[in-house]
Amino acid sequence: MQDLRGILSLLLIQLLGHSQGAPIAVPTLIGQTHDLLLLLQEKASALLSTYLTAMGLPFSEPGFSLPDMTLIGLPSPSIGYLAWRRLTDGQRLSENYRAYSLQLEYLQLVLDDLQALGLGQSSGKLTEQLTTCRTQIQGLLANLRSLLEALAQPLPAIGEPLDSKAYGTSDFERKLRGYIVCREYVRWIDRTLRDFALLSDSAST
Amino acid sequence: MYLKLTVILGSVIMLLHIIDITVGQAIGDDVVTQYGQIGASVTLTCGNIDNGAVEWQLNDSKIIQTRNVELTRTKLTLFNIDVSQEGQYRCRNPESGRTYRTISLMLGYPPGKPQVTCRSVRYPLNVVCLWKLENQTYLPTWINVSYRYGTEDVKQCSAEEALQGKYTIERIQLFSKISYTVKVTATNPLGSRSTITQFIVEKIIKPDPPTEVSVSPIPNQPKKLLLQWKPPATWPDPSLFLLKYRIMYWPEGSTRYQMEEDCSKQFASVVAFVLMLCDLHQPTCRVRFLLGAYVFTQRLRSTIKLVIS
Repeated sequence: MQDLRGILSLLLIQLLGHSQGAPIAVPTLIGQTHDLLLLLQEKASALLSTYLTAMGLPFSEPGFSLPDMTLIGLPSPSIGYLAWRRLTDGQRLSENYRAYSLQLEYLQLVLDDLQALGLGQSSGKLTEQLTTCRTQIQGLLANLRSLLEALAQPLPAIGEPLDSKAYGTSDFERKLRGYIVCREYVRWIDRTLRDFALLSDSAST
Repeated sequence: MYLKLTVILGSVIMLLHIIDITVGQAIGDDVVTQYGQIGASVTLTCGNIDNGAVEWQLNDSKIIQTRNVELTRTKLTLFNIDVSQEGQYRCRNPESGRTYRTISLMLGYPPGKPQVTCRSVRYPLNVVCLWKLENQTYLPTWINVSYRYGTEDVKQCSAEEALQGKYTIERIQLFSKISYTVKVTATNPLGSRSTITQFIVEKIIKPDPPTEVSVSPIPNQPKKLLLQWKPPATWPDPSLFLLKYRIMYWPEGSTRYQMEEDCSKQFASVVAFVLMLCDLHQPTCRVRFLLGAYVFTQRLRSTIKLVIS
């Protein structure tokens, strides 16, 4: 069942990504992205769970949480309620586009770190989930790009987030970094779901 | 003649005034306030003593040495104090009548631990924290309230808000699950106690009960009732932050046939199995409804009761 859903989601992404024919109407695209996000939400929680287990103690400790730790290059979805409400559609989509572009880079870094930690072979399930996750994010980015184009908004500048000096090389720091990336991914999906609920509302009026 | 009288009166008044000042300076000079804890002990110290005798007085009556009172020339120690020992203490020279020092002793208790509760009734607009002191202190007590979000700077609440026992934290951050830390400190001359509370906003949401609740019959469906309501007026964003509702209903006087339904719309067509029961047993029937609003899977909820016949 999981695999079937996974395959279907990939198919959906392929279709959306390669739709070079007639552009999909904005409300439809918003609706489809919202559905995609619901799927991603489940996967995101599962990914964080698998990651923490694979890293061993202290990450695998039940209830492990370091909510205040952040990565400088990775934007946080945290925003005040009123400020969030007042974002224009363009700003809303831009922030999401930027966030997921960076998530994509960081998830690749996590995959590289897994290799460096020597866990590449033993954590096959985790590697698979991370790879699937990246593919799904690419689909999401494609949708976001289309929506930004439909609104005639420029794509936000991403910059070069991963410069060599920002990255510690100890095993523990690598594991910690991976935890933060996976956790922020979960939080971002929660945020994006609400963003799209808002966009659906405003698209239908 | 009147002029002379006026001058004489004026001078007498002036003289009295001067005497007043000088006398005042001698007596009113050394007045201090001291605080003591009921049930404990306190030591009062005399100052400015000349070589004469020293006598201690409480509100003009002389204090003598007892089991709970220890007197020395310069110190008065009271043990196991009770409330009746509050008042004006004077150490004075009994012969010359000169008062060396007046000590105003006020008695009470150090503050108990403040009890703090924080709730978000208007999620995601704000969080309101309420506090009160565990016990009555009988002394002037100051409250200091501060909070911080995650590892950001600490913010202070104003003194006026602190005294009212209520503070509203605005500008809640969403999508983060980082905790807020609130610290309430009660201080009085006898001591200081603090309470620190930590919470994640999403876990302390408590919406108000739903409003405009009404029950009406449904045409052509005598066994069903239409129950309608609106989300609470205090909930800022019902379309984006959805509320769920739970309906419970049963015939009055019997909890055996309690029914429960969960709902995310603003109305429900209630299958009145309960009404069927009513028909069998009595001519009129009262049904009690309990309708509450809640969020996620939390058990915190507010409810209102409705009775229909």
